[in-house]
Amino acid sequence: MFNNIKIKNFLIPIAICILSLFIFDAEAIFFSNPSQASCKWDCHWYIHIAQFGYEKDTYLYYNKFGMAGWPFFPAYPMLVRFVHYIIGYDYYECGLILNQALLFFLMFITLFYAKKFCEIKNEVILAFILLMSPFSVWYKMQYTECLYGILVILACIFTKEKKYISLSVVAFFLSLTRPTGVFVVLACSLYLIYTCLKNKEYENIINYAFPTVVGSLGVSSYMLFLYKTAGDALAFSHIEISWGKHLKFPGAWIVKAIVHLKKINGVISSFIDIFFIRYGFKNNLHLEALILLITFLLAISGGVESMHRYIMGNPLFSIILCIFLNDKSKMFRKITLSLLFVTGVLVNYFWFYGAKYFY
Amino acid sequence: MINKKILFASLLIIAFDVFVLSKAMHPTKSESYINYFIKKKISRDEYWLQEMNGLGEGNGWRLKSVCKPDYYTTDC
Repeated sequence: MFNNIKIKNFLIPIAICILSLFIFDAEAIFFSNPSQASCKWDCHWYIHIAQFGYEKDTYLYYNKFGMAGWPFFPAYPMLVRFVHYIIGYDYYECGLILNQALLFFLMFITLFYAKKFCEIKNEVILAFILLMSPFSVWYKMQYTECLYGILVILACIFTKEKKYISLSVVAFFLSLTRPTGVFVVLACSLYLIYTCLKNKEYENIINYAFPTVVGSLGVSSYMLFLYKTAGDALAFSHIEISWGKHLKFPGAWIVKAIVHLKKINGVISSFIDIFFIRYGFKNNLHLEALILLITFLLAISGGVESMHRYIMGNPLFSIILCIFLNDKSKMFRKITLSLLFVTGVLVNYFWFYGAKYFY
Repeated sequence: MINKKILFASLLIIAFDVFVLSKAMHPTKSESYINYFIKKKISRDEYWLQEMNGLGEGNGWRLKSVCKPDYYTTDC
């Protein structure tokens, strides 16, 4: 898969990766221990699951009343637990070390994929967007974005290379990482089946549907576990109501947010997402834009919160943004990258501070 | 040519999915508890108050077993 890779092409991206982690951790030190300072909101759920497993019942104390860790899928907490078993550090530290180590791999395969399949001209710009921009914050702390991003890119590589058995293996882990994972695999299967129909290779349809079937096995396994633990196989979905999320027609949440003038950052982010997904389709990035579109529709059906994270925290978004910038003038590129860097540093600060201006 | 092994594995997995979905149709405890928010269209705060006062659908059945409000059910 990684034939003809020259390590010297990756020296500058590796330097950018080290610098971005240095900036992130140096900012965190001003607040407390980086592993504690970076752990906010969902991170506590993941670390709690890694440490104690899933709850049998919902919490009864006031600020977590009716909540439980069931919507947080098990792949990332299991990896944190594994790292803790190997190196023996605190769970918060293990989560941070794991993600920051995985970040190098994410960068490596994203650049590889973008160069081979998306014809990216300047990999340094992509590395900069991926690692220095405000949405890179999700990869560097104890969230699933880094692991999920790696699996999404691997799924895209195997889809483009039509390796459906390897894609099936990735599909299983992807569906255990996030609720949207199985839908990413569905997008890959649909893409393969479409090319199959186009080339009149009808005998391969079942083979190309197989990754989605394996993806469903991941979700079913987790559902069976929830049935045994919580007494409800769909607890991961039902419990979302405790976070104020429930399914609505995709545009309804945007209209509601605008009418009530609340969560406007989520609305702005949704419109930026729509622009870049459309740009992806227009520029022949069909698989990448399809994955982002399915993720977008699923996320927006549950609310506008975290829209920036679901779409912009996906390496495929960085690839589309990089191609968008390639078409622009040098001056525009420089100004955009400088703005991304400055907001990136600010977003880190706001994250550690616990402010919600960008989230 | 259709890969028979893939076809067989797919059928096995689909059978397992159907088995899990049949389980999902019959939750044993938590689903009704969570859906209470949706059915009654009340907020978590209101539900918490109702349950604390023994006025909710569960008639405080879970909270009765709680030693202190900030303890987990399983700890008491």
